[in-house]
Amino acid sequence: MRLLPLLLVACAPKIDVGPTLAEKLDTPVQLVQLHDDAALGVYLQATIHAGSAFDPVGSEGLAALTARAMVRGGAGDLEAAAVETALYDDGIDLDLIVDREWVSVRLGCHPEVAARCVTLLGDMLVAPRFGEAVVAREIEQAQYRLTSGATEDMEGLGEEVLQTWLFEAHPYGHPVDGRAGVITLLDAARARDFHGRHYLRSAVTAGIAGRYDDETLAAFEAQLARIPAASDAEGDLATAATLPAGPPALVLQQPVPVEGRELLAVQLDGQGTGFHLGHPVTLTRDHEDWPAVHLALSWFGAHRQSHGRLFQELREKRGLNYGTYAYVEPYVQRGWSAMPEQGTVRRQPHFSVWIRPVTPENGPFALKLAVDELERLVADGLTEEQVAETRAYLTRRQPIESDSVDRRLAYALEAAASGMPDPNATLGDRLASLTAADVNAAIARHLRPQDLRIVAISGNAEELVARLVEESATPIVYASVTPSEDQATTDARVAEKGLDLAESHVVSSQGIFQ
Amino acid sequence: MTVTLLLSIAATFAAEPLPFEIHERALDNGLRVVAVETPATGVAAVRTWFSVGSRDETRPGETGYAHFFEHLMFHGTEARPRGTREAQLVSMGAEDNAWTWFDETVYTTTLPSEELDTYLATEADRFANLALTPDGVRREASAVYGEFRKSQSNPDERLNDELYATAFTTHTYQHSTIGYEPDIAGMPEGYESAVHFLREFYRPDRAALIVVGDIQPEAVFTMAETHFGSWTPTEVEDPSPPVAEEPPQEETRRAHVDWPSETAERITMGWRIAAHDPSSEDLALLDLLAAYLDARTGPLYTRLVEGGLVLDAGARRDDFADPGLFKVTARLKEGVALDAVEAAIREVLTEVKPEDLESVRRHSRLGGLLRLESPSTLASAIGWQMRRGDDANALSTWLTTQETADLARLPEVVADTFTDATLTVVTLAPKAEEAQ
Repeated sequence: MRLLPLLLVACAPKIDVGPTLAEKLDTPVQLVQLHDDAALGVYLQATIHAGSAFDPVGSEGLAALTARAMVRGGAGDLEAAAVETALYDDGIDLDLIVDREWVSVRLGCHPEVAARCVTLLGDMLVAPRFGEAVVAREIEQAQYRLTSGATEDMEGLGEEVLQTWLFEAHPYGHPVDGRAGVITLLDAARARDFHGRHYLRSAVTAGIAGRYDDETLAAFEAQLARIPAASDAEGDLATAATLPAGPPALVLQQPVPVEGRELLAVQLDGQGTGFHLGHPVTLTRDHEDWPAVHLALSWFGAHRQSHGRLFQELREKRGLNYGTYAYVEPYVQRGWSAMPEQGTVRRQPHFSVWIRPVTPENGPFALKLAVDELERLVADGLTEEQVAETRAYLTRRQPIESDSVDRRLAYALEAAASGMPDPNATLGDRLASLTAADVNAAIARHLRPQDLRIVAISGNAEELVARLVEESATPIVYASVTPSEDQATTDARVAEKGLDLAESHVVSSQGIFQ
Repeated sequence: MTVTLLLSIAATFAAEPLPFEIHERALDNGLRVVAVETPATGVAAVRTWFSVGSRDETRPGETGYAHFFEHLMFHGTEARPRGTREAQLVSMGAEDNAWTWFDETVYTTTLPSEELDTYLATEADRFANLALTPDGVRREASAVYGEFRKSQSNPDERLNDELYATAFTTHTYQHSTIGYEPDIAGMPEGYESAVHFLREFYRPDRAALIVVGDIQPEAVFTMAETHFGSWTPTEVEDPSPPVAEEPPQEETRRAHVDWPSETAERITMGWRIAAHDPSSEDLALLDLLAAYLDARTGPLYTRLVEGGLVLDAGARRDDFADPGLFKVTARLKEGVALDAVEAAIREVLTEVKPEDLESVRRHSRLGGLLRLESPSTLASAIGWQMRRGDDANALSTWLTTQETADLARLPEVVADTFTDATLTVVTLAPKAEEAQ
């Protein structure tokens, strides 16, 4: 077997120098407020522009390590253990989301302990202690996730490999956890330094929601005012005023264009073969075409829902797998729920299709069928009726995805921090006037079935590649279903479909994030 | 979706009186209806909770059928052919799913509350009039096999399965919810078995309909009566054999799983405990103990993780319909011996003091409130405590039991529970050649 290392090409983030401290010193942290007397709790959130894209070259994983150690490694007067005790004894929920661009810290608490909650979050953001033992454990855990842990979830592995491959030589081009072997070189001093340079006023957007009172709000504002405007804010103001205020903004170069179709098959012992495929798009949420392509891909393969075209064709008609879905942007599922996580929006998203595991013998056919469906989507588009149905689905679903005040705050905060529209406030209006012609034109502008990077996770990676490259036909093997005549005709056509792979590689899952 | 490592939904709920009133009604056909009005504007969460899970799979060669049925239940009826319901839910923007575990199968939907009547009409039809076909059964079997395949790369699931396979020699908890692979492979030809399963277990008197959110309870009861009232229980001539009682365990059992690739060594220890009872003080104390052990402030973290023995560790009390296990599980750090971790876990269990659990009560009282914020979470919590019982207020009962349990009795309960005779230990490690 030919085993090639998956190269995680390093890329230095480019930065813009922002306004000076003198210009920014009096600017408070942007604060989103969603007061709701019917709520049961008080919710405090902060979103910081300090995700893994800000990792310095050679220190991949530093942003995530900093965030995790910031909330777990002690804060203010409290050592790490005392923070844990305070959180536990007061029943305070702590949630931390670290993604490519953003770090989101969320605390939920009973109104009775809101004051304590406010102080804790303030101290975490402003005065983290980065306890050495906590930092060491976080490094150890990240190293595990990047090595053995990566092979324990074949579907998570496929998604991560696709992202790193699509954005090679780009600040998004490594896992949030960093790189195995690199993360172990980091330490508390590096985390402290990263925090000092990035957790500054202009990088932070904060929010408060639920049943809070004026006193709690004032206390939270006071805590946020402690966040320095610049790294040297505590020094000589006259000198500091000449320095750039806040962390430098991250300038993202365009990812390397995907041209043609390439396949990377990752060998992972197991019974199934799963796929993730896609390409970067210039379609951020504020783009005028975003609602149209979001609508089209929801029709094509809404996450974990059965009505999508891909789900119907692969699972319902052919029994190939558990589900197949499509995404206009990276989709992070929130725990057991199929709802999306917030704090994960990106300025350089990618479109993707997720084919859940099929039997190895049906791997080539399942891939061809999904690609064929994608080609048909771009070529044929949606009908007016399909657009209307999907518009109704998305418009009415949004309140369901935001069925509690803490969820609504997370949406609002993500929007405020990123400058992107809040779907809760805007999605219905943005979808309202779309016609099939609008949708289909947008699909054609942004989706390129001929330019795909395809990641397969397979127990038979070598054989999979060989069949796709060498065999003229890879027919479906039905375990139990007798297809209709029309379906059998489609199957025969798809089986003979050539994927025109420009390149294909086989790599081992062992050491893949080295 | 099968649930093998589901966190105890109600383990840390508000111990103060619930902030919402729980209304309940039983229909003549035995269906229990629960309705809770909350401030969730425009949204209703519905859980249809069936008392049938992999526990009930007593017919030979038919493990996995409860979960299989979770899939088949989306196959349509004569009045609403396959796809009709899904199209309707799309038009509502609903979130729709289902899950299965040992004791139950739960159908979960969150939707605009103004659509509740339409939705309940559809649900009543599908549960009462599901139209199974041999072809539909064959097609769905492939999807189940796909779900089985995706679970095979996870060592935690494999370890957990082996624990129950070893701890239970007779009771159906010995097989995982997704079923044995040969039985899954046989599902395509399982049409007759599926029909039998449907008639035997999908009955109104084995179900609870729980509706939470922006609703009016009386209106929900009227809708339920209108749509579910005519659903008549069916009887089967050859019912499944009763679930066999697990004989007492008399000595420690041990098993080991060889893992085919590089991974951290793992250990799970399970002690036999009683079936869940919301009124049981002993179980409430064990639940508080599990929560204490599981916390980052608890001794599994402070002694084992911070002590450098393991990467992580956790504890859980099974709150099952029949006797289950109190489990402690850990992933070892490289170079640490399994024996050392087992000894450390035993030591930790015997050293917990009654006063340690006070913090768990405070944590539950304050933090539990937050988990009532979403109607979906509240609906699941109510169902979780009702389960096979018929008390819609079982959640309140359980919270009260936790709050009032005499902590001083903890040493006695610990001594009775954590004995070698009722212990099963399962370890997992890379195969020797992988380890090298």
